[in-house]
Amino acid sequence: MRCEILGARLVAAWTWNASDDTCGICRLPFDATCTDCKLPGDGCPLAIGQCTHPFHLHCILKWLASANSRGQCPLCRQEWQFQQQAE
Amino acid sequence: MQNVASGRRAVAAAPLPASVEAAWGAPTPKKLVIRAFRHVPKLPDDFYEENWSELLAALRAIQAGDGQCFSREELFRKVEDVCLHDMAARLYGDLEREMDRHLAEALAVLPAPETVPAYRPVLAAWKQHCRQTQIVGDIFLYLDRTYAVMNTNVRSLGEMARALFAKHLLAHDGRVLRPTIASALQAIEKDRRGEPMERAELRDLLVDMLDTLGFYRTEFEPQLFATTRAFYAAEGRHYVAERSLPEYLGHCEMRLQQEQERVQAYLDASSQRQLLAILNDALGRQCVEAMMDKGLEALFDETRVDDLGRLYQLLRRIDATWKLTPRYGEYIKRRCAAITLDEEHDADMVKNLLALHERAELMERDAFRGDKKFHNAAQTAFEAAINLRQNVPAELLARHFDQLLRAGNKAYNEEQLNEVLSRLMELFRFLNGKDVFEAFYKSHLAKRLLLGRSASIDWERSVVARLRTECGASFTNHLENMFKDMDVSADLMQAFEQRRQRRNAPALPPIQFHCQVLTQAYWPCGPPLAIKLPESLQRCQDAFARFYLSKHSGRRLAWHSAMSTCELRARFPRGEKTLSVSLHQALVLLQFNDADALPYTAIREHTGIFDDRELKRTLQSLACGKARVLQKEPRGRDVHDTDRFAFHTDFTDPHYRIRINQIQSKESQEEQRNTSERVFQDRQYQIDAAIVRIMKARRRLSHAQLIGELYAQLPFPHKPADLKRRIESLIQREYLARDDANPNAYRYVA
Ligand SMILES: [Zn+2]
Ligand SMILES: [Zn+2]
Ligand SMILES: [Zn+2]
Repeated sequence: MRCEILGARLVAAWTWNASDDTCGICRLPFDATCTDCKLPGDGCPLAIGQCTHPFHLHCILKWLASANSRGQCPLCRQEWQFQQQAE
Repeated sequence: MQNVASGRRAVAAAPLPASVEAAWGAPTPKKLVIRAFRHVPKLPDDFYEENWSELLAALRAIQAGDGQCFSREELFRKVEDVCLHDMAARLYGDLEREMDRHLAEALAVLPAPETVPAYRPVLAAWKQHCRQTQIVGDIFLYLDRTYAVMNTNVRSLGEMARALFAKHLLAHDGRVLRPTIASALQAIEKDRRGEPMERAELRDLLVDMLDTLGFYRTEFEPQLFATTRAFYAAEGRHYVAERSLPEYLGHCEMRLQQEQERVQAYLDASSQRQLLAILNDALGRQCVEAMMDKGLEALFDETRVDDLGRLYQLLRRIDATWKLTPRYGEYIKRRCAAITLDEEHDADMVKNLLALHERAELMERDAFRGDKKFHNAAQTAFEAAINLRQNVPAELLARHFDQLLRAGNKAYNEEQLNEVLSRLMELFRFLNGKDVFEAFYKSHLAKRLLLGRSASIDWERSVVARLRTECGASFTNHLENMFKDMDVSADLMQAFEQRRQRRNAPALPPIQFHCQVLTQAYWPCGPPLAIKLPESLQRCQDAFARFYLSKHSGRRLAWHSAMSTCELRARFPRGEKTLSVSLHQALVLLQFNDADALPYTAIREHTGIFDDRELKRTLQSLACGKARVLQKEPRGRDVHDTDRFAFHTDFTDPHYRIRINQIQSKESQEEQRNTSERVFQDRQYQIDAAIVRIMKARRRLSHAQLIGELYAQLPFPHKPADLKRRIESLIQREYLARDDANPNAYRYVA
């Protein structure tokens, strides 16, 4: 063995793990924020329904609070259920 | 002569005859005894004539300069006698006639005005006249104090004497006065030319004689002003033609001082204001613009604060500093533009801008006495000139910050660094496209943080704090969150280590493993490169990824090997070394565990670094840099697909620890393009977001209104055509729609 690794400093970047790059409600990218937020990342998280549709958490909460949502996913009109998220 | 005036004042203060002796200092006390008249005493018929003839004889003797043989007390008493006998008016008249006659004679026989200076005999006559008047005043004191005081239309003897002298000066069309004044003016001109002249004498003439006689203001001063104006106007013309600006400025200042001294020495103080005004006008107002055309640029170029200070003071005296302000502003703009647009010397741009800025500050403080006009002109000029070139100044400024904040920068101590940073902030303030600066700053900061190149985290934070003060929190949000990511990663690693220590945890290879997890949105991450990690390192990475994703579900990780680093133990036949290398360098070196030599293509295959530019840079750093741990075949600086590489068995180095720097292909154009592209992308997002925000709030707006609001909100320069494109794009994506009634208006689509 001529060379062996003593130490390593690796770099990784995290992004939201979603099937789509943009939010189905505000249509802005998940790497950016919903229309109300300024800072991407933890401050403006992602929410995925059991139907697998992803939205900004703030966007889907606002949608669900509006009368014409009837508690449904705005894309597929199934009843909205949050996917379990650990944390 | 002085005594004539003061004697008169004493008389006015003590008008009683009883005090006359005191004034005389006479030894015998005199008592006035008042008795009732028994009979009116009869005066001799020639009483007056006799007294007058004796007084006249005394007067003539005094005029001839030998009045000492007369008893002044006796003469005084004769005057008193005549006055007590009601003949004061006659006496006064005779005295005046006699003085008049004498002066006519004295001033008529003055030598011709060819004598140099012509005023000298006149001045001598005046001095003599004053002396005589004083003696005569003493003798005729009783007349002065009774008759002259009691009759308001009769002048005091002193006044009468002055009036008579004045009359004879003016007589015959000013035959005496005119050459007197002319010669005085000639003497002043001589003085201005620096030729010798009698200042004390001139003072006697101008202040004591002319001013006392009332000719200073009426006859002399107007001519003084006229000749002064002519003299300095000629001098000004001469200077504009022949002297340099600094010489001229020094001269003006000297002239001003000399003229003040001149007033002190032999002119009336009241002339000073007007004289200086004439001087400032003739040498200042009339010449200064021509002189500035001649040499101002050089004064600026050489930062001649003393000369510029003189110029500023001169302009201030003529209320014209505003003439200098635009020239200063234009100069700064010209210099700044020359630096900014000099593409061949981009490497020195920031250094040169800093130097110019420092010079400007010096001139504003020391030459322009902190006059805000000048500071503002310079600020405007800097801003206009720096932004003549797009993006590059911002980029270079960011790079300059990088050089300062990097570890190993020993050019400055802490205090100096602080000062340079302040200056850089000043330049930063001028930038219009601050987002370009931020993008480049961010990419440098990322490297400093991830590669451990930062000189001090405290300095890093302090610069970001300054940027926040300057541009607000939203500008520095990303930068601050980068620091936060660093802290969060440190905590994560601690938790990961603890988990690794657990008894039932799967054993990991003995590698000092660290992982930085970045929030991608904050960091300038390029696309991740797929590479082949050695199995040991892959196991560590996988273990960490599992750990991380178990804590943060809903996320995914992308690995950025270009920013990763390694520490290797390398056993060379001539000694063992510890190498600090990039991950890519490490991957290449590890290939030589199983082979002594490898062709380029094999290395490419085994490391999985398929980006040829990156791989070639990496090989170059290992085989062609300072520490050549690999040997290239054939030799040469450039790496080709056909090259072969071998482990350098003869490698030696005096140090045990060696850092092999990745070849920083001088802010590689690619990297620069990426950063600029990111700025462009980000601007598009910002424009979109601003349009949506505005339309959501206002619901319906005309095109012009929307553009106006955008103009106020967007923090970077933009063209109307770009905005229009973004609006079109938003219409296509159904955020907006054209108004049905008005095609030049938009409405928000909910
Ligand atoms: Zn959204
Ligand atoms: Zn949000
Ligand atoms: Zn759905």
